[in-house]
Amino acid sequence: MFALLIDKNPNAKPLPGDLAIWIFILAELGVFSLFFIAYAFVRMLNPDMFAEGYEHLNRVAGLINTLALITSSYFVVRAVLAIKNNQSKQCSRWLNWALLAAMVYVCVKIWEYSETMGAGYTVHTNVFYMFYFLLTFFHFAHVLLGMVILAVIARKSKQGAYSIDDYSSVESGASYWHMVDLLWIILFPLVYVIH
Amino acid sequence: MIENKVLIGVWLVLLLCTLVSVLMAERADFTVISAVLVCVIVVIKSRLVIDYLIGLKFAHPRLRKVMLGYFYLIPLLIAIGAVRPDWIVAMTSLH
Repeated sequence: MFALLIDKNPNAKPLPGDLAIWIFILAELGVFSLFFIAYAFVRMLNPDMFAEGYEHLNRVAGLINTLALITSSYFVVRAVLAIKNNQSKQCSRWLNWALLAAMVYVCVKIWEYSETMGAGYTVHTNVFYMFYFLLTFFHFAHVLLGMVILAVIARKSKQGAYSIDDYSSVESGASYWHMVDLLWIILFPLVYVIH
Repeated sequence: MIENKVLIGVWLVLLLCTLVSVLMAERADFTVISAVLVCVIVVIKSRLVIDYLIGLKFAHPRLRKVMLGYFYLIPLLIAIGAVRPDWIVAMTSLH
């Protein structure tokens, strides 16, 4: 599977970022696919339980988080474009904007969890809530890891560690962040929209 | 290198697609067709992110195919689950 990432043709178009990050991204997508399929399958077997659970979901929080992640992804692309133009300080600034948008996601997710748990729903309530907490918290953990990566890259970029000749780390961090966004693009409709 | 105008356009389309999905979800008559349309929106959004935000449209065609394949397959399975759940149950049943 991972061999397809290696192209021996010298004229081949390059990967955006390091080979290692793409192996990691493909592995993560594989793990999440199991969760997505399991969620969809268990929902088919328990339609009434999932319909009732859906009614109690904070769908506004889901919408705000989707908009926040899409916007942060846009800022990350601007950061990559800035470093390709040799503007490392500008790159750092765009990454800080991305982190701000990601912070919106974190705050809204904490609000959503506190509201859900405050209403008495936990991972032990039923299968719906087990999947809801498992899927969304697993994704939340990826967001937090992505924020740490972006923060480190923003700091190093501000210090001038990257340039037009050396920006592979910026692209790797950006690719990871886009993966987090892509996973939410499936997770959001699966949990918050389709009912 | 991708132009800023294109990038802003992609960002706006992604926001718009999200809002359309939410509006469909809030309708009282959310049907199987609505579920399929939501899955189509997932494919459109994924493709925009893969092609323009990650930039795979201009790099590494094999990786692009794998990524697009994943984001076609998962929504397709979700759509099949919404349209014909009995097929999925029959395919995965030992009886």
